[in-house]
Amino acid sequence: MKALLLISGGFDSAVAGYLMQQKGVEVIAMHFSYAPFTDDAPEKKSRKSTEILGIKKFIVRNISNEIQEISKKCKHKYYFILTKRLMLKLAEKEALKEKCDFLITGENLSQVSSQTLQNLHAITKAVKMPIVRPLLTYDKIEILNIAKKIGTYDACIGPEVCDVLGPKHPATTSKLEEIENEENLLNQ
Amino acid sequence: MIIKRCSTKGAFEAVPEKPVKLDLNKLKSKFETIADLPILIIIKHNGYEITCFKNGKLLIKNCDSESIAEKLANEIMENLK
Repeated sequence: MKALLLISGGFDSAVAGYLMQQKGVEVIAMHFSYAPFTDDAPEKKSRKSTEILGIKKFIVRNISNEIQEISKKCKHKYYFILTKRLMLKLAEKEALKEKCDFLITGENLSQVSSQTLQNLHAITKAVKMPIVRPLLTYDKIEILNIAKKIGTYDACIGPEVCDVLGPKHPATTSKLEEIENEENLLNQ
Repeated sequence: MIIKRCSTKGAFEAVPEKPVKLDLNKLKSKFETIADLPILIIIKHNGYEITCFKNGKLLIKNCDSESIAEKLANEIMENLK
């Protein structure tokens, strides 16, 4: 089995990739850069993590134009859900080209606003390809302990500029129909 | 301006001591602009990328020196006079 890991440069996605490798899955990785809305630290952290995990293919896609459009045209509270759906759609295209069977994310239930059960449902429906979320019910401390054990903790720690477009009060609940209506405002 | 590290420590932020509304159009006319949104613009100044928020906050990326961050922030504010 082969899968495409969406890697952010944070602790979780690298650990998610590792856990799937442990199950015998061949993992390739894709990072979505928000520069210039962030700095290049997440990309560097992602690259380093893939090296540590022995992931041979690392793809970087800048989505600054797309997130600008989301920010200009859509309800701000849905920003994180819409950007996650965008990344999954782009990842799915790449995964099909690379003959992958599924996508992997480091999402973790209720860790952040886009990861409530309702929002995860709306995010999941962006693509047809299966999404495996090996960390869904993990505790953050468990995740950090694995990161330390496998050596990605040091690669992922350190300062970075957070996404300046993110809303102060993101939606914690969403209806798929409403999210799709917002997406219809976009030329993506 | 109050200069401090931003919450994720990846940049310096400069916050005006008194509430201020930045004239983003005026800044756009004076600096190279690399991103342009209603609530913020990102400009280039002296090789640094600086996010200028409408509410007066400036975010200075890839800068390790508080004194340079302060100098850049003051220069930007000077251009609004």
